Amino acid sequence: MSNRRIRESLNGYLFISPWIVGFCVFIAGPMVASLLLSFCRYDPSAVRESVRWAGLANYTRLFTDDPLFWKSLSVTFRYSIVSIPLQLAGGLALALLLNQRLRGIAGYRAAFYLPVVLGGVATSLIWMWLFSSSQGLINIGLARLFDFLGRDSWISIAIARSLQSVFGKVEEGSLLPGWTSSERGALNSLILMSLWGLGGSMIINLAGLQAIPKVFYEAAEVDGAGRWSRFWRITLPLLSPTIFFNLIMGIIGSFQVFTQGFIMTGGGPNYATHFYVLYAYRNGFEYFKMGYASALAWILFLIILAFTLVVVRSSSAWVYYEAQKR
Amino acid sequence: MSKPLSPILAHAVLLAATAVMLLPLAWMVSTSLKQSGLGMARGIEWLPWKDVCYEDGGTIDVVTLGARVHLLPDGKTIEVGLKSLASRSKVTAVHVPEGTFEAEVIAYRVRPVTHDERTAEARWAPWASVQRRIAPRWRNYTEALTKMRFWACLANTLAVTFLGTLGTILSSSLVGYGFARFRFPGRGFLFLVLLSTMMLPPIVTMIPVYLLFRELHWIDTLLPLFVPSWFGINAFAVFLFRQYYMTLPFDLDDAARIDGCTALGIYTRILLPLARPVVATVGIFCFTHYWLDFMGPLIYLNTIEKFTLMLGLYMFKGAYTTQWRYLMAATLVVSLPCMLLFLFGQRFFVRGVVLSGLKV
Repeated sequence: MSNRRIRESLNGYLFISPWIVGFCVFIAGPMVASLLLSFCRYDPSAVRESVRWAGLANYTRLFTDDPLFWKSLSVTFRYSIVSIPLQLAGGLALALLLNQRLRGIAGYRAAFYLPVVLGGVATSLIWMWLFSSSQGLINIGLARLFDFLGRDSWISIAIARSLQSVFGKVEEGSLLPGWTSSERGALNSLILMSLWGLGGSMIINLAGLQAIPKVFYEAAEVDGAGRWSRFWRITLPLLSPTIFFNLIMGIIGSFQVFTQGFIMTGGGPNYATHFYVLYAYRNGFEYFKMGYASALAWILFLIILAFTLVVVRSSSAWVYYEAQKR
Repeated sequence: MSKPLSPILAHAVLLAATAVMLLPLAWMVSTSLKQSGLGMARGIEWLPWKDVCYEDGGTIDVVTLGARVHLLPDGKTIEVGLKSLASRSKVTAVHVPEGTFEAEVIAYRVRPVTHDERTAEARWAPWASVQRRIAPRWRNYTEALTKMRFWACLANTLAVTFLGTLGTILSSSLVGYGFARFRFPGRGFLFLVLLSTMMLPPIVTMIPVYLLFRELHWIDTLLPLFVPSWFGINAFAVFLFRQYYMTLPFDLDDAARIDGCTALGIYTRILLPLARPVVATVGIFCFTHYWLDFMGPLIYLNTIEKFTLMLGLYMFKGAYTTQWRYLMAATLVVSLPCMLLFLFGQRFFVRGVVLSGLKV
């Protein structure tokens, strides 16, 4: 190598050196450490703090002797399975709606994205108040509606029954849904709440829609294609990379939900919203079982990795790249 | 953008959907201005009402508890709670367990509001002497902010947000420069490693990183919240800078080098100033990220003096769990900076989201 090339290489390494240090100290090192910890027993709050090798004990206990592990896994799966498709379809529908030439369209877009910038804590507090079973806006509104329709009329009862089948009951005999206070409705209520953040995937879809060259639509129109077939044959295929990206981000995000469960329900009632990361957090930072928490974290990592890989592998079958301007 | 089927229909659908999206925010604002004695009313009340009672030529603030009404169908006089009244007019419908009847209100049961927290004796006041007025209670804000120790929390959040954002911008623009402008062995592989860290759930590294900061005696300080940002580990930010530098011609570097600029000089004098749009995008993203961060403060901070706004708000909720007017006032104030930043910096928000979505 010439002197110049060596100098260039050295300069390159020098400029990326903050990242190399940061990667080793905050990412690679901790990953190795947490993998090792997951085979240990470690309680930093104990009087005589010690790390003891435990072999596969943490993993054996997780899989054979910890109902809460299975419960939080199933809660998280159920949340993801319902909320990811809702987010994908809702975000797409919203983007199609907002991709029109209309007066004031920028204002509509801003309004839909606004809830996204509130963050988890504020969103949780606002929705706790909306969901409050006795004083919340939703239940007061429903009570008024039932008063108006007549409490015993068939239509009130039909509305109440269908809401209660998804969102639980306040108490026996009441027409009102219980939302986050009922075991049956808590998880579904949090899913409903997650739709308030639809603006996030809407913005990405909108950008994807606007990147589709107009000539495709013009050509299709000349060929006599209707709205419906233009959507199925142009929009959807050309938007598939965006949908793919939203799907991956949805998987990564929804398997890691924490704040809502932590703040709004504390994982309850009766573990109905006991999310996986909440359980890992509690093991690590409330019960100080850091070895066990590390094992939990690694299992989550492998699950997310597996799902992501499946989606990536499957993408060649349904993601259409050619026409995308790159 | 496509032409709508029918503009009127499109507006109708969009207006309805927007109303639903903004309803929770409107309810937050409405709640934050209400008087005490919330939940006494029947139905949804958007405006902050206050009841006053005329007395000896002046008025005093009261809370209305119930009413004595004259049932019109059978002439009986009964006493009912305020929730049973359908409206506050002289003749109104009354909901009682036996059914709903027309009734004439004779008097209200009112309790004067005292300002020293003592409970005053409730008394009867004739219908005409009690009136409702629209009276937003602005003091909810000052009281809530005092109770949650807002200013102390704000100082901490500002420090973390400023240092975290600055660290991310400086370090990721530098690392991005290294990846974009120099050829060195392993460059492609290292860049791939960098990108793949975006997929890593933070929970995997959280415990060892916590133990590391504990060894450094940094627990219950703000340091763990922003120090990592100075090491260019925000892969998304590095990626954005690198992509942007790639679009700038190498002639710029060569010209500067001939003029005697060092490699560092090219970065500070030429490339970084040109990357202002990326700085804005990354800056806005980092600002909201650090402002809204909850799990970091939750894990690392223990004493009230160190709390950030989000942690302070969470703790405030624990202490005032039923005082929703205070909680909503605090929530609104704490969220306002990010909302304003979004409304005024929409361009950069959208650009960041678009870049993250389409180029990965």
